[in-house]
Amino acid sequence: MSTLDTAGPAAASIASLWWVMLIGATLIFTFVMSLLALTFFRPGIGRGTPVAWWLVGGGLAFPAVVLTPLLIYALWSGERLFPTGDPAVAQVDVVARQWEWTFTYRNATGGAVRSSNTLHIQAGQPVQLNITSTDVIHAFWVPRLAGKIDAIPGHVTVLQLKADTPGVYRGLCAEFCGVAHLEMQFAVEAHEAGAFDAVIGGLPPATPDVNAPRGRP
Amino acid sequence: MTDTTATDPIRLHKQLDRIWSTAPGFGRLSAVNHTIVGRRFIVTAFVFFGIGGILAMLIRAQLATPRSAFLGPEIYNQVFTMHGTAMMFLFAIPLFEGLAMYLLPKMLGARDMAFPRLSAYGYWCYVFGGSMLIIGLVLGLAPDGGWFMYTPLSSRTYTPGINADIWLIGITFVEISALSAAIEIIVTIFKLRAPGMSLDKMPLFAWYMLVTAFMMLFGFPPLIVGSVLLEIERAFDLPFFDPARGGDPLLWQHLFWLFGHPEVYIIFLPAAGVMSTVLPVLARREIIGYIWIVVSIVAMAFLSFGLWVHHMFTVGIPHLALAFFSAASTAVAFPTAVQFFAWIGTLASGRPQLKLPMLFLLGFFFVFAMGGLTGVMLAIVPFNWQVHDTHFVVAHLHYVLVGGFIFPMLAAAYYWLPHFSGRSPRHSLGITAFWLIFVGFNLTFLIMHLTGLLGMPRRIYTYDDAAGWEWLNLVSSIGSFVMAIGFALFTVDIVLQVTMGRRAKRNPWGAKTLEWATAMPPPTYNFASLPSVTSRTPLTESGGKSDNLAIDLARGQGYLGFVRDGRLETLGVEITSGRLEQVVRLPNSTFIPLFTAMITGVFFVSVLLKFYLVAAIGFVVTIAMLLMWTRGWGDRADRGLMSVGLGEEAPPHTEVTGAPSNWAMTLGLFANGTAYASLAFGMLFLWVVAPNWPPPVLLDPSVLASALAVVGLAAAAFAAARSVAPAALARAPQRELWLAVAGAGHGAALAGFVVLMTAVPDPTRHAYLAATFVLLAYVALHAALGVVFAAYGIVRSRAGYVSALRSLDLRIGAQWHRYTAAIGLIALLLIHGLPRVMGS
Amino acid sequence: MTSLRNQAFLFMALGFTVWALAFSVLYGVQGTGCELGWHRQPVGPLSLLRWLLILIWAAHMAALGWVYWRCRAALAVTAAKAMPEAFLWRASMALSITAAVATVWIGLALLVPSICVV
Ligand code: HEM
Ligand SMILES: [Cu+2]
Ligand SMILES: [Cu+2]
Repeated sequence: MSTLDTAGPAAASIASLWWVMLIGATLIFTFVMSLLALTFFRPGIGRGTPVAWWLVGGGLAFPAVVLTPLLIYALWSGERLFPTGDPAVAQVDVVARQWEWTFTYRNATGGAVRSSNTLHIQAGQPVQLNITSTDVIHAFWVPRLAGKIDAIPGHVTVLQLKADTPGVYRGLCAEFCGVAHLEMQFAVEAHEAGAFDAVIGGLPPATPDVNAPRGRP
Repeated sequence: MTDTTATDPIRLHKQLDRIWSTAPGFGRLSAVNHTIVGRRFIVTAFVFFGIGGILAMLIRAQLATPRSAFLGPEIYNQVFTMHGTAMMFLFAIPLFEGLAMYLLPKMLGARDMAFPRLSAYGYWCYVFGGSMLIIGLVLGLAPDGGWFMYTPLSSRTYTPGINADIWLIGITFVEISALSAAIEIIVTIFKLRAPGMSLDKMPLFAWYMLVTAFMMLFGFPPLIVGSVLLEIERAFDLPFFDPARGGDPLLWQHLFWLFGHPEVYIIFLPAAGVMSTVLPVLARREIIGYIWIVVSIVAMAFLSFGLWVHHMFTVGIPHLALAFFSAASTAVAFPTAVQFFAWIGTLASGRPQLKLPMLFLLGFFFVFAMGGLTGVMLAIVPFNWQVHDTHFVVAHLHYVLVGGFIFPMLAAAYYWLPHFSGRSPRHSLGITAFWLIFVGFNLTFLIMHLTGLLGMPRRIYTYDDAAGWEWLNLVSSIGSFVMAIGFALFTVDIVLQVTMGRRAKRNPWGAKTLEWATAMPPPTYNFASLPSVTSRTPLTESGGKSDNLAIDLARGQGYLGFVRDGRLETLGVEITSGRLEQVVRLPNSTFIPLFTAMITGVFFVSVLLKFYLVAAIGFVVTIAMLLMWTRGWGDRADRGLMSVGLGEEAPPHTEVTGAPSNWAMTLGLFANGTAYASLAFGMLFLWVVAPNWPPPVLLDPSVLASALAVVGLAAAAFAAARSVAPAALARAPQRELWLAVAGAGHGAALAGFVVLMTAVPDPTRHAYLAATFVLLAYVALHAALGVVFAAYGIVRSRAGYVSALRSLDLRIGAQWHRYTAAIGLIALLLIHGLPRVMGS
Repeated sequence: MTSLRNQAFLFMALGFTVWALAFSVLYGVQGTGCELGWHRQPVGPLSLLRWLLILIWAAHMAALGWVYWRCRAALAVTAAKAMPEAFLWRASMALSITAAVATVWIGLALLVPSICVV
């Protein structure tokens, strides 16, 4: 379940963002605390320092130097995590309700099929999830694969997911949704291409009520 | 006039104390004095901190081991909801309100807050509202939807019981105290300063509180509006948040976080104010960059209103919009850094002493720096998607709140304790308490970042051992118990010092702000006479030794060193320059705030129990009682200039334009306008964003009723303006006639609005109809109150309280009349415009 | 003269009020534009929506320029007379600069390619 033990490109990109920020934060923290320590162990050390150094240097220049590249890096890496809307990407409609997940595979050959609490995907292939809820707000989260996104009644949110290798990845509802919030867990099973088709072929057809989610994006 | 100028400090003290003191026994319940009410706020807040802390211990006990059977999900959900709610609403905000009430008049050189009875009323509302929540907890009916109460989970369908109602109603009740405190703090800082204290000579603490209070004024109304709408939805099925009928759960999130994010800074800024006050004293030099700090505080206040969506990064908003909020969220780092380095620079160029309060300030630096850094991380959109709603966030928010609030407040407790109690601390226990809290805190929360990164979501009552979170949680729980022992020790230490400490000498820290010029503990009237201020460090003024000023003031050698007509008096100044402007008369202790709060309580409890008739009566009686506060209050004859001592003269507050109560009305209308804007925003937001629009029916508002309302409102505004014109003010029949016209205008507008409301087809059908209905009800209520205020103006005029010089009552009323006209017209514009736009 | 006295406090809030306005209008227009499909309407190299946002941003920058200029002028007068208001005007001037920098900072977001969800 660790966000740092990544198994997909989205989670991996965020994990590297984290490591970069952790190193940066550690350096900054050490620097500031050392300054603070100096003011006690070397009293009067700053008596000759012009006031502007503290305020302009520490208050303005320092954060600017740190934050500008960080923000640009973050926007750049965030941009690539957004769904592309590429029609070639397989689509799965996800409906959350108290307290289960239903997955409808729109593009399955032979009509839409569905599964509950287990999402089947093909390893190495991106899949676009169109997520909504029929009751309260939930959130779809598979820590090892990607960040989370809310399932909101009346709205459809989208998330692009990809697992690099076959395997089973645990997912859970991350937005508090009532007494059985904890139980609202699911699994993402990533299969090899051949096995994937077999699994999808074995799923029951989707009943109409959980077809394509309605609502405004 | 019985002007008694006493130079004998004992006699002067007796004279002042007689009129300023509060009766013993049951009479204590009538206290309105800021020292007493401030102290009560502080003590009560710490009691709620204890309750919140016990709940935190329950949480940690439950999470210490996997699959624990100690608390089930039903109880656990109540526990974390009440923990968050109690800490944010019943502890943090009231604590700094209390501190501000206690300190501000003393720091500014005044004898009380601007509206002592309002302080008392706010206090009782806080106690009663808070008690509602605690009673709910004891009965097992506590709210269980989390401290931000997301809809639809908190809507009636998914939370059918009374739990959510208790939250909505209890918190709204408590928020009365926040709004009244905000108004009172602003007016006090604006007007009740010692002559000569221009804004640039004001202690930084006052700047911090001024900005904080403004933030409260604009931050709380969206929450109140959201809560009222949700309660209306729960009680009467008006679908503001129900997506099936054109509502939207996201509207709640916007309204809540529009309050909720500024809230975090509302909590932080007073604590930063403590930093900027205590740190220079213990560093034995003036703080560097005074103006930089003022600019940073203002910048921070504004920026913090542009961040709210960073709590909503996962709701599916486009990247460009997220980028705005991400950028704005990182931008707060700048003003924070300016203050951080101003403090470090002050330490570096001073001669810092490692006294007990300084230890807690250092705790602040360590803990808050870390919270700030993880805050920047959370502002980074992709990272936020991973750790949002995990224990990483729990860790971050505690680093910020405990670092940015608790540590400075504990420093404040030790720093001002000699002032509160007249006794000086024994250091032994405090140091141990600090280390227990500091080590325990970091043990609890530092590794909790990792727990979150390993995928543990917040708000789950247990976990299994497959995820590898056991040892992390166990360490956190052990740490939290260490911290709890630290807090227990702190409490014991404070109690011991208050009861058995050594008598403190005056100004033990060598501070230079005015609060240390009072006796310790402070007398009821603060200063026997008020100082004249010429610098930022008034205590160094009279000849360099801080005792001199205190002694001079006690001898009555400042302003108002006498008792006039048995009245409680203090001085009012021009806002910016601090030039002497008026003599402000203050009220003495009275039970009426307590009774008013009780009736207000009747209102809230009846709404909770759905006794709406009783509620309506409670509301009317509350308004009537609030108006009664002014009975016998005011002057029936012009007084003109009065002597204030030191050869200077000033008019009474009833005879100047910038009277405190006039400002209070202006500020109250700011808050009211923010609430109204939130309502209008909600309507437009639903129209643009919510599913299931356009609505099934569009309103075709009656032209006749609308015209009646327009004419009525225009008449009210016009007549109100005429009633305070000099010509009308001079002649009773004329001004009363204009007031009657204003009242009639409101009456006509009210009739128009009621007709329009009744024409709204079943507002439970669609959010559009519901929003229209509520918008109309809002302005109708204002028009109804307009009738009352106009009538009240006539009563005051008849009773002889109004003259060409004494126009305060009417000018306050006129503000209301004009404002009501403005919002009424906007409402009409909206209800006529929206169907047209949607229809086309 | 009296206006320099009374407006000092107002201008302290004005700079960042413009910032807040820029922020809300940009956010509001962006949301509305996505609803109404303005991002699919190309105007030259960019979409209609993006042009609109850039325009709004620039207008607020101009407004901030005006605020700065007013504060500067008022500061010169009040400081020369050593009036207590000079402090507020100095703070207001600093705040107008700060607000302009903050507006540039959030303007960075306008460079983000994906303007609406899919
Ligand atoms: C005294 C030590 C404290 C401990 C050990 C503690 C512990 C915790 C824990 C473990 C949670 C997470 C519960 C969960 O998500 O399942 C939590 C939530 C929270 N805490 Fe604390 N806390 C402490 C003090 C404070 C203080 C001082 C404040 C605020 C001033 C505060 C505000 C909150 C809030 C707002 C939440 C979120 C509640 C929610 O999710 O609805 N806590 N606390
Ligand atoms: Cu859920
Ligand atoms: Cu926030």
